[in-house]
Amino acid sequence: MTPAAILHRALAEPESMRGLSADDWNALIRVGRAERLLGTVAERAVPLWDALPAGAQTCLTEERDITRGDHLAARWEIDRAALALRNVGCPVILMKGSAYLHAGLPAAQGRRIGDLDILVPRAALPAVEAALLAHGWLQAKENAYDDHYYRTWMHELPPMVHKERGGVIDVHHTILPLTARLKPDADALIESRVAVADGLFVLGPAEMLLHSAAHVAYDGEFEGGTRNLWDIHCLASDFAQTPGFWDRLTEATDRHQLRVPLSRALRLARRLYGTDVPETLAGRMDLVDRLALRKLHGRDRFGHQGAKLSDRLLYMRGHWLRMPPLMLTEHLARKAFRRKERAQPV
Amino acid sequence: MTPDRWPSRTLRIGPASFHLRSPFRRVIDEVNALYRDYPAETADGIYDYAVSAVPSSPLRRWVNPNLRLECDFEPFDTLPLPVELGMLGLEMGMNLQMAVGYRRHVVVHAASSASGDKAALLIGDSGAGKSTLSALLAYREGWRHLGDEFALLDLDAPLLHPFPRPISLKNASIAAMEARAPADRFGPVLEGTVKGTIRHLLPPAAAIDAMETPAEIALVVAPHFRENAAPAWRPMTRTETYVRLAASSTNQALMGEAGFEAVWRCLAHAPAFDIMYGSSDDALELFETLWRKVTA
Amino acid sequence: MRYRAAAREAYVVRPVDDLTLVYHRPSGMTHVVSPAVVAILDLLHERTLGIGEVCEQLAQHHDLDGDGDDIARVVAARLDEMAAMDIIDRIV
Repeated sequence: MTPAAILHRALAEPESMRGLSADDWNALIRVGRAERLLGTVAERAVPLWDALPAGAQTCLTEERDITRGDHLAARWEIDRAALALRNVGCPVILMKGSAYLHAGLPAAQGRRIGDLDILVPRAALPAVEAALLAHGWLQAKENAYDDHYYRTWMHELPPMVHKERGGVIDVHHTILPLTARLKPDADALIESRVAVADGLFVLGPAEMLLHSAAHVAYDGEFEGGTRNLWDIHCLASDFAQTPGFWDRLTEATDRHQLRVPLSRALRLARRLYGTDVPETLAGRMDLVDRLALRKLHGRDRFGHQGAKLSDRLLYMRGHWLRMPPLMLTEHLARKAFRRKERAQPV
Repeated sequence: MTPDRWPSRTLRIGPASFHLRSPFRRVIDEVNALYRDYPAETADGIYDYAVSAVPSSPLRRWVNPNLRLECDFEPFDTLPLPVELGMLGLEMGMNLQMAVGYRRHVVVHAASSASGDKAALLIGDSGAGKSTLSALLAYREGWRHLGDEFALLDLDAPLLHPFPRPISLKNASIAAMEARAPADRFGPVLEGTVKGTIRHLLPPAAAIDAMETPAEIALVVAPHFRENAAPAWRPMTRTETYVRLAASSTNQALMGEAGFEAVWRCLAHAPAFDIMYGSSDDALELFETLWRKVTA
Repeated sequence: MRYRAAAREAYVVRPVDDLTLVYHRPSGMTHVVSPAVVAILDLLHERTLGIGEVCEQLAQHHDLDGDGDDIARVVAARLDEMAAMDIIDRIV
């Protein structure tokens, strides 16, 4: 069993953790940390806690404490963003981890949360940005090129960071970069919204799943794919309990032209975690799936991802999907130059 | 799973356990020499944090070898280290895991030392004097070294838990301690680091053996060394003590109410003093005078 | 401009010497504050008050130095700081 597979199985079948050797645990902890999923493993391990070796209990307890810290900070950032945006007059839709947390979804259990992601109508962006600036957030991006790139081509404003708390907020106006070939319907996304506490919203279930699926496949590199696919597994398993969900999802998928990425995400989630997926949506495994699976199984027992040719192919594909070729060359050249500049003496 | 073929060493320091590895055998040999007194296993074979010193590029495995770190909690971009400083790199990696990943206690950048079952916490900026004073106390009759870099505050009681790693002496304090501690307790001289010359001093074996025994916090001291200064001391207000402790903790702000209460307990339980001195002898005398005063 | 604090249970208030530590549970942050801030905070738990009302109620329970304008200025400054620290909210 690959180190990555130990993680996948621990999540999908927690009882399997009873049979892990010390070696297996050491690998699980490393890969779990690298994939930011160890907190989730810890939550899944609660029913069999007493059967776990002490060394595992120590690491998992620590991870639960780290996650608890994340959730406290995330709730506070949501609170502050809601306060700042109260009078802007547009719906504020939470996304990703913060959405799962605020809506009380199973996907939030044990989940590490970093930035706060919100979706607002594109027309409201100037007002939203102004309100955030007035309440202590600053622009985080370093230079004019990045700023211009973000505003012109991306699906979000440049990230904003709060000057006292350091919390980061990402303001989106749609779910995929404007340069991508597929164009989801931003208005329909916003219309799908469901009210949650404190005057805030989350995306409708189908749209929430589509957002997650769009990013597994579309970020091409499948970076963070293991966790992204676990989110999809949790969301799909939870929402499937509502009759008619899969039909609704199919409808939304076609409206937003996301059939290919959705199918791929569902296939991969099924492959990793055994998600129950209707055949009509799953489609057939293809070469990209195979490259993705190689990457998803790529971490060694110390959690390190070697750079393989298959990963490089995925990387190239990812950028290809997100932007036209001429822009891509220029963008990559700038990124390469900046990485060297950032290194510091020890 | 494919077995790991690199030389490696597991070691325990206080409540934490680390697995250090590198393809550069000399780095692990140096680790084994320096950490010879430290437990090499955990009870069930599961360790807390892995730190690897890996070649910075495939070429650098063999040509002008240098290395960078890969750890559970990753460093930001840093320039590679030459292989001669590999052991320092691994130490940095361990420090980083404690500073960023550890949540079992409140972690304070501070030194600490125990006499009987009570302990003193030495706080202050790098270079002010706390490391040297803690090294002096480490080899002073009646004192048990608890740590020079990290002090660990218990979350439920006013206790300090030991983290008695090899003491990191820098520049002038190296000679000061060479005069006071047995030669066989010192590690190799490491020159050309960003901080100057470094030499490790192992705490006495008894302090390493007692690494799992906490002590009750009884005194907080902020020591300052200044050439030729006359010995002086003043009490610190609790506000001042709070601010200093919070500023030197890597994780208190991330640990919510438990973190707050742990620091509060320290303030409530132990008086605090700022002390200044111009020599090692004055430092020890002043410190022990205060100690007798508060523990009488 | 009006101000409001969370419920009393959201704060852990611990006087240390002449200043006070306030741990704010929703944010996980600890603040070092003056006696004036402690007194003002005490009035605002789950109540929304303007500067004038805060001054009035402070005067009822404490001996305050200075005339009405001075007090209002000081109180306004404290309220501003407290809002900047997120210990209380400004309600528009």
